[in-house]
Amino acid sequence: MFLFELFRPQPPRQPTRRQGVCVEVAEQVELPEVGAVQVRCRVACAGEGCPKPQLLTLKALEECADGGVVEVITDNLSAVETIPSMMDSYAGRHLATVRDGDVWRIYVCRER
Amino acid sequence: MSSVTSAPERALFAHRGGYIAMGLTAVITLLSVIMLAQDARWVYLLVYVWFGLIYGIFLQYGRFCMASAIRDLFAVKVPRMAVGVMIATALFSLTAGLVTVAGYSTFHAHPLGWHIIIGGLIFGFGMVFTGGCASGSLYKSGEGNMNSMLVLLSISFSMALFTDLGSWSNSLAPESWAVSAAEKGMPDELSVTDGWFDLFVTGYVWDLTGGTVADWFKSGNLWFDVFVGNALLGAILPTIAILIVLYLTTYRKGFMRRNKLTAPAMGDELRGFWGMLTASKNTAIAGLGLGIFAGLQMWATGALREHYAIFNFGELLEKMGYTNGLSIQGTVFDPGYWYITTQEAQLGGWILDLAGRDVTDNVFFGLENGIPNPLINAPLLMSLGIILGASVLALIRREFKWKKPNLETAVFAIVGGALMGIGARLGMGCNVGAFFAAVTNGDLSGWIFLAGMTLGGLAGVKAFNLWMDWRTRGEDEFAL
Repeated sequence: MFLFELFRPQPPRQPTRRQGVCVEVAEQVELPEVGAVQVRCRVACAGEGCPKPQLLTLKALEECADGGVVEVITDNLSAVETIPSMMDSYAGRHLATVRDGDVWRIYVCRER
Repeated sequence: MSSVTSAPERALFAHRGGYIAMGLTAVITLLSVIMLAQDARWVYLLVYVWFGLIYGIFLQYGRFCMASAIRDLFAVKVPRMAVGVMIATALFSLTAGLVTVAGYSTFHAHPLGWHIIIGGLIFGFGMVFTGGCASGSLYKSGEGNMNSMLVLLSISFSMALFTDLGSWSNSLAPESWAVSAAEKGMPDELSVTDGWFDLFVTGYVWDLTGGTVADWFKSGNLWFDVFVGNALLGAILPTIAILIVLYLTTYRKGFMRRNKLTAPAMGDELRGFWGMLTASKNTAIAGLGLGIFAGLQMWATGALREHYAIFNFGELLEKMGYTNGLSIQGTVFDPGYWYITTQEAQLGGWILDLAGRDVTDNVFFGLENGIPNPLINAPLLMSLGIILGASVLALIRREFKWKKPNLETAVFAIVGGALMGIGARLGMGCNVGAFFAAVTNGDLSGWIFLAGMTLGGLAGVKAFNLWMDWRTRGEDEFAL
């Protein structure tokens, strides 16, 4: 039960292969001011409310190798502004945010 | 190296959303003019509406949300929004001080008791799950977020039902509350000894006292009491202390890493601190704007009260011939400053009343706030103004989008919203009424509410993380 989990110590999470919302990809994209980068992982969470896009981004970065680029697709404006600031505190760097119609594509790079 | 691009860039207004925004503004202006032509006294109500519009614009501009502030801080260590809230708090304390000195303050201090921290805890916990605080849900509704609209409905009805709990809840209240409530000698049509919330208010809250820092000072010099007591000691110094804690615990590490500083001097620390304050310009500007206009609203309403020689909008409504929905004292909810939740409870109460449930026998609606028709409920129209103001700006910025909830977010909205409603009524307000408007007027109970809300928010973030892990445990993915 979900509530019992509150009181149970959590074992460290094992890295998992990503599917579904967060998928492994190998795509070349051209970013403004940055140039061509290879996207390794895509977090597609349009329609999700805060704080899910932020937390999914962190999870994706955690599982990325150094230098790996994560693409986050979201329509949550608060997440669009928070994710770049998040990189100040985590092992990552914000590369670019690109608006694509109704959604934003945010590119962050794993960096120790 | 980062950039935000929006391709293709086009004119600010010359697009479909811009036209709708202009149309919306024109309709609101026209309605306002028609109301004033019918009776100039509607200006009292329109002050609420137009300040609501301004708040909505600033909230949307800065994505100003206390839920984001607390959640981003604990979940992802981003202090951006918390900084904005603190800037708004410091500034509003100064504008509120000016209004108080000018003699137009409409503020009343909250009674101090345990209920404030408990209310804050419940409110803060619920807020993380709904994805927006009371004011945040309003501006997000204006962006077309139906999930936030669901939150608003849930808050409204949970508060209306909570303040009108039936006799079954009497046994949950201590005996002493019932004794104290009975001693208050309230009119018979108010069953003050029947229902948990009535017992809580009349038998507990009314026996408590509260006040502002200026009330304790009473030095004889109002300027000193208000600016040194209320503003400096009550709001600005605590704000600076919180900003320093935020800097040391979140922003500093990243700043030093980015600038490759291993042995920072005092100047580096100050630059880092300033960097944190200006890291999100939009949020800071929203904080400045909200602080200034929240003070101006108090001044405008206070001046109108003096002009019409009234203490409460209910008196004006009565003179204008509207007596339906007034409380037995002839009053309606009319704080005269930025407030969110009580008017939402009134909306819920009004609908329940329409559906045949008598909610006017309780203290909250019957004695204090009334259940006026939403069309003439000034604070409720301020909330509508916030929604419309946010819509106008979102449309102009091409950020308006109808977003439908999914099953998970809908359940969170309803349950979280209900918790927020209960927390707001226990704590006598939300993140705006019980915190923002309180601390800026020298009422320290607001800091207690913030402490409760922060702890509740922290517990909410932990629970939310566990929920996400639980949903994905044992699966080879974290698709939600």
